[in-house]
Amino acid sequence: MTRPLLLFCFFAACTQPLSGQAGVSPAADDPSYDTLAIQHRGRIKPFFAFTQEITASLTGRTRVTAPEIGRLGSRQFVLSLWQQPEGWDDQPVILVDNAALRKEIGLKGPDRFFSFRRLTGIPALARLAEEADVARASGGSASVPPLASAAQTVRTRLAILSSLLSGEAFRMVPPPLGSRPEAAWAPVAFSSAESIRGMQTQGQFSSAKLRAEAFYFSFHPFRWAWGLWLLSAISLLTLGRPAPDLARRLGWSFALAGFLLLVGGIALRVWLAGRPPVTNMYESILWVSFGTALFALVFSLRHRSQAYLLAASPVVILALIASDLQPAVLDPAMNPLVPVLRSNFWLTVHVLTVTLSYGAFALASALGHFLVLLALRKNSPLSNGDPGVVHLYRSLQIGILLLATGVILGGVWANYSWGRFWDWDPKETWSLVALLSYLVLLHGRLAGWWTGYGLAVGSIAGFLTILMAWYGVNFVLGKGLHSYGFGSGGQSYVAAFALAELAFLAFALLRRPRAALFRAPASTSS
Amino acid sequence: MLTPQARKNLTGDRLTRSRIWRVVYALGSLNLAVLLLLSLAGVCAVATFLESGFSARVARAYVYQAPWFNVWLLLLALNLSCSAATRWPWERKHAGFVITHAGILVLLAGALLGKSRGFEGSVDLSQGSPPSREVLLDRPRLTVESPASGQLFSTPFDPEVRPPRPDRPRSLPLPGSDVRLVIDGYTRRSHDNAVLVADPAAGQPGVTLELTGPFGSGPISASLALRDFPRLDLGNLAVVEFRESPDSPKEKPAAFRETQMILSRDPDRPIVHNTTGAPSGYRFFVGSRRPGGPVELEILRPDGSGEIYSLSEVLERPLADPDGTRILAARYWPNLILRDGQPATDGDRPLNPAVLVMLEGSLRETSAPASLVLAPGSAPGRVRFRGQPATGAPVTGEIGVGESFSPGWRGWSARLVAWEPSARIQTLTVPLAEGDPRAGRPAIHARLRTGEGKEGEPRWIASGSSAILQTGESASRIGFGLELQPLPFTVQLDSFEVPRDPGTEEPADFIASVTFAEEKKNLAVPARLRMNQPATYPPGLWPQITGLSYKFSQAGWDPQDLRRTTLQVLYDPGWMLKWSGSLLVVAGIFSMFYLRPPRSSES
Repeated sequence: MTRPLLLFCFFAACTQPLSGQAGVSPAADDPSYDTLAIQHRGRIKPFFAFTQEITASLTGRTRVTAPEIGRLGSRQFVLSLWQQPEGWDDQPVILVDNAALRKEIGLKGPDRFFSFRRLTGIPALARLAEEADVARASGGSASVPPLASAAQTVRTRLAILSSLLSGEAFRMVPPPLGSRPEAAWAPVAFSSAESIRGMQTQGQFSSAKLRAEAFYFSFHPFRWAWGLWLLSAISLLTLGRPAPDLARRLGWSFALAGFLLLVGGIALRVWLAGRPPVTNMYESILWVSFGTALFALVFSLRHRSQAYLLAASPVVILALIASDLQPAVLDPAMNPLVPVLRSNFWLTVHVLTVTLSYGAFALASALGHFLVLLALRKNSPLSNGDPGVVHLYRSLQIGILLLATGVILGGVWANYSWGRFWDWDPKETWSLVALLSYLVLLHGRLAGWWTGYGLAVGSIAGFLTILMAWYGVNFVLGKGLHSYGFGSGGQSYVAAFALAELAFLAFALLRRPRAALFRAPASTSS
Repeated sequence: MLTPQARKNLTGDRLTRSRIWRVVYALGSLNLAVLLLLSLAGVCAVATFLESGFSARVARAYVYQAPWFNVWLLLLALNLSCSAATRWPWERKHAGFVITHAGILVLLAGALLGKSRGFEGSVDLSQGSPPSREVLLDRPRLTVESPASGQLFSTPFDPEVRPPRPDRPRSLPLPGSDVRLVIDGYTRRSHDNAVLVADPAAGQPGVTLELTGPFGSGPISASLALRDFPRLDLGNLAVVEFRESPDSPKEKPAAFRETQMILSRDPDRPIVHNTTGAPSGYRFFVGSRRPGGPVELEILRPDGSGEIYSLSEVLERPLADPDGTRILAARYWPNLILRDGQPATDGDRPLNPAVLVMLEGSLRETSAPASLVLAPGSAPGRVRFRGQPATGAPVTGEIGVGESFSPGWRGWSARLVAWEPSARIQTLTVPLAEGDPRAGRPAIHARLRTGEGKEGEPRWIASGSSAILQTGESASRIGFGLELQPLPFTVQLDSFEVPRDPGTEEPADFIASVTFAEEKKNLAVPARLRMNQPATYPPGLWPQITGLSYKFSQAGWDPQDLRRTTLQVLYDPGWMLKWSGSLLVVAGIFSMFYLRPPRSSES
């Protein structure tokens, strides 16, 4: 399917006026287009969501910087392109983020954005992308060289821009009523929002949902959520000493408000996409933040301690920022799922449970960091009765219960819907490795191999196995049945995080308080 | 309920008085448990990298299904049982602990039962093919024929685990003789290559071509014979043909039907629906050439010719084009609006005229992939050719043996390697070169060797095929392929559907209708299965509960052939134990963590 597209790219490039200096001019940034329906990537979505998605896939961000007219938001960018495509093939709006690829195809200098015309004029790029096609056809996605894979990504960006330049992408005229539900919508030339709305008077989509989706993409509920958690952490940290009561109230209220926004955003997403919220990396990050925030709030309410909130806030804030910053890697679009993931009760329960356990373990890991630092300051190995250790133990308990349940539910799902219960698939196996690691952690404490300090260190190490099961299997190993989650990108961030954690672990073990390991058994009668 | 002190005394008592209890306490110790858990976690982690680096079958052979791994799991089961035994007599506070550990034991028992009694395989079904009564298991086997008795013997043989190489051959004796089968090569991708063989009796010319692509991989060899083997399909790349004449044959044009919604406001974007998927190329425009004039319909043919008609003249009156295409302006809306989702007109004034045109006819030119057609040339040993790229103009010419030429495909060159006036094509299995875009099957490289060390001609044997190997007087048919598991009934594909996501080619679901049949019982049971909704046979609650039914689920499809589907078949008598064990584990962990009576003495 990609080859004709590419040929089309070349064709489109040849048919553009050769002069090329037809300057581009910005169209009016008219929000009345936002809620118009458009058929894109197998879904009917609001025009605003379309502009965001398409801009993110071209540029890696939700805005564009064109040298002649400066920065444009996604809506204004797509409207300008639609209104007057001439000249846009000369604007450097296509991201080539892989430095090795830029070097390989002879794009020198620090620039990361290039024009359509420039990129389609590089035969090496097309050749690399075709190499990836061949590798994929003959040996599966694992055998595609990274450079070729990056070239394919750029080719996809070129195809997207080409579909915008030709007008092909603006599929906004619904087929006559009575056509099959999968019928393609017809593209429409740039016209006023009212006249397009006039063509869209017929059914097959809900305009309430379109409005809600446009709102969802423009409101950024998750951005607000992490902002509120930041305020919560700041109030707890700064006011904790001088005004503990006020700190507690403020910290609690901000955290709760942030949590409600998180829940609201996820709920809206579930309603709009009509599916559970954990079908790609982006959504699973949201769900882990939700889990961490939920457990922190419940525990801190039930056990009257702000420590949970304070420990959860870096997790929630960092996770939500990460999900917000990299739309090209963590795709916020609500695209249709592959059939195997659709309408499946056991699958939904399985994935939600497993991912919720990640949230609990993230909380445990954060508490672990605090406890290690606390123990080092006090130079104490932390007894099992230390309140911090009890907090940590509670988080580990809920995590283990959820992970064990989730892993088993995965078996139940697989057995129910397509085959054997357990297949030693890498994702399954790594979830089991993570579970076994946490079991070692608890049993080792029972056996007296370590106490609270060991538990804290272990919960940090344990989260690295979770990271492997969550991210590593999909992005590093890249094999197995859970292949629909495979993707690329973000490796350097995750690797940096894992290395920092390993360094912290090494530091914690080297500087451990005396008698932190191999204490007398706490109790053997469990 | 025992006090902690009484329990301590009981333990001490057991340890001093009974050797059996000492073993039980040792096997059930917490230290052993931690060691077992830790080593299991480590081994599993390593195995995933093994799978990523090699293949799932390698990881399975060396770890998950290796005997030592099972011994490890057995040790874990022993540890679980013994640690539960050391808590005897059990009290309420032990409930969670005992339930969890019992659950894991039940789970492991179910796994053992499923592994020994059950199987998992796949079956390829095609619409219109006879019913299938066998399932392919993912277990490669060798079948060998005894040179002495002709009897067939079969043995498991997985070349992917420790692949045989020339310096590391594997050899097995053929039963009832001193001849050995020597396997010294393995490839993941092989194909049947057609080789040109001179044969005076064949009475047809044959050619061999070498095609070199732009990716630096080895050349592709293509051998063709004029009558028996005139066409070679190079995957989705191109087609090579050898014919009497290089000119395009008169292909029967495909028929099409098309509707076009012509909007005067948006003349460049008619809404087109065509039965073949490819538009006919006809264009229509509606409007008036002068303000207030009559509404007119312009017809523009694919070849550029066209006329303008007054709409009132042609409306609802079919026009026939010279090439047989029928054109009908079926409906007209003077002022198009959409009312309740249906096109309607708001008044009779032509403010926004729109016309629905229906077309029926045959396509003039079918778009084909790149092709290269060869034909006998002006003299023996010379060949005329016509290369057609996917887009653009063809190249033609005549060449002799040894000469290179361009087939017109971007980046490719070709060379005529051989020309035989009378030849036939023999197919041989050979490994595919790295980077060759074609799909292939695994194959092993094998030969026979007699007791005296005399070796026969080696051959590649592709998975799913067999070949006769010879040495001296001995000959044996050697088969290589996946193990077949017979079913006690048959299954047949009645229909297969792939609904798509709106406006895309992405599949939204896979729906197969099948019929299960048992001839002896004169039974035929239709069933329907779709993604995530398997069908089971025999139907009914009892076979399903006992696990004595076969589960068929959607596993694979071929985008090129929508009359074919691959189903996964599962027979697992242990599933009930697995599910109950799972339930026990979850309930046990929950009660251990959250339903425990408050502890008194511990911190």
